[in-house]
Amino acid sequence: MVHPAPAAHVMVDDTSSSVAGCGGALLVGSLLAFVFAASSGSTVFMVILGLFLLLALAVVTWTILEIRRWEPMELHFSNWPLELGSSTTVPVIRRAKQAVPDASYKLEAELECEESATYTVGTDTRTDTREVHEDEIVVEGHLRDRTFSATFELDIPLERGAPSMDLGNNKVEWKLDIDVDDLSRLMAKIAFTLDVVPALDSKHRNIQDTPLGGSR
Amino acid sequence: MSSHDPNLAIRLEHDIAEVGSSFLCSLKRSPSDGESNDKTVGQVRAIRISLRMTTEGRGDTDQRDYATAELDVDEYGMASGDVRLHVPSDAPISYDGELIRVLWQIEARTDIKFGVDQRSSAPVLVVPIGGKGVYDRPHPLTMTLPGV
Repeated sequence: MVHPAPAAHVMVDDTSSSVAGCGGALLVGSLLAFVFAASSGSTVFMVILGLFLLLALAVVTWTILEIRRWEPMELHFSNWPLELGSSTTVPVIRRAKQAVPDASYKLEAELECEESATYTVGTDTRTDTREVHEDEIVVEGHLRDRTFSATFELDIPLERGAPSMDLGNNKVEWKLDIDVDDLSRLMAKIAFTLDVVPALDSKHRNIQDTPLGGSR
Repeated sequence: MSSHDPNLAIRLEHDIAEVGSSFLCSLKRSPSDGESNDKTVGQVRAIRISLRMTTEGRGDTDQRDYATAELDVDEYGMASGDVRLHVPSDAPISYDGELIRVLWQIEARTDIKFGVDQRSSAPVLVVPIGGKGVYDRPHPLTMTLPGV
């Protein structure tokens, strides 16, 4: 069993519950449509909807089995909150609920800083997004004793993007997408939203001449 | 609706502050000759000062006053005093991005009875904690102030 060093903060993926919710909604929707078709007496319509119902049932069953197979993914941040210019060690832990064979997998972590601006044109509301920072990290993770673990370094840049902000129409968001090859087809990509605070990491604080620009 | 107040001077101790700290500004309003007559006595009610964040760029404008204060005026519309405006620790920093620009200013509005309010403003920079020495010059994260 893998026990990471005590973390300053642990983020737990809650995608499983939302996937299960969507699957359930799909199943209920298909069932209602099937009942409606049966009451209207259209055989062809009923057969088509019956196939959809079977498909939805298969998807939901498979989803539930996948959810039962794995615990939610955990990210253990060594430093929290995330500051501009900081470097944080992030062990990723995912435990299996059932016996799984030991293996090595590739973990891809993608850090993104995205600006989004919402504006109105006539009666339409539109949102434009722009990625202002992207960093891709690839490490190898190992699945041993029913626990998958991998560790990577997360660097929040000093000079790209801005701290997280939600001003209403204008937002800056930091996202971390975790993708583990073949570990679970259901959770192919898990997205975490990070909170980057308006503070510099201690090693950059109040330094007059930094690599960011020339001297004053 | 407002117009520029030529009689109101805003002087800042610093035009840059970290989130969680504050701006100290001195305000002085000395009426012009035209205002110093019997007709204008009691016309100026107060001077309202605000620390205002405004966005520019692709999105619709977001605007918010993060701190406000009021300065009393005498019957001739004169006022003088120091005001401290606190920048909350969760406030956005000044930022010059690709779609978004976050601008900060200190605005003083002269409230005139039955008249058009007059205003004066001074641009300021809000920087992250520990960023005073790093961002007080042209930088992608912050807007350039005139004279910086």
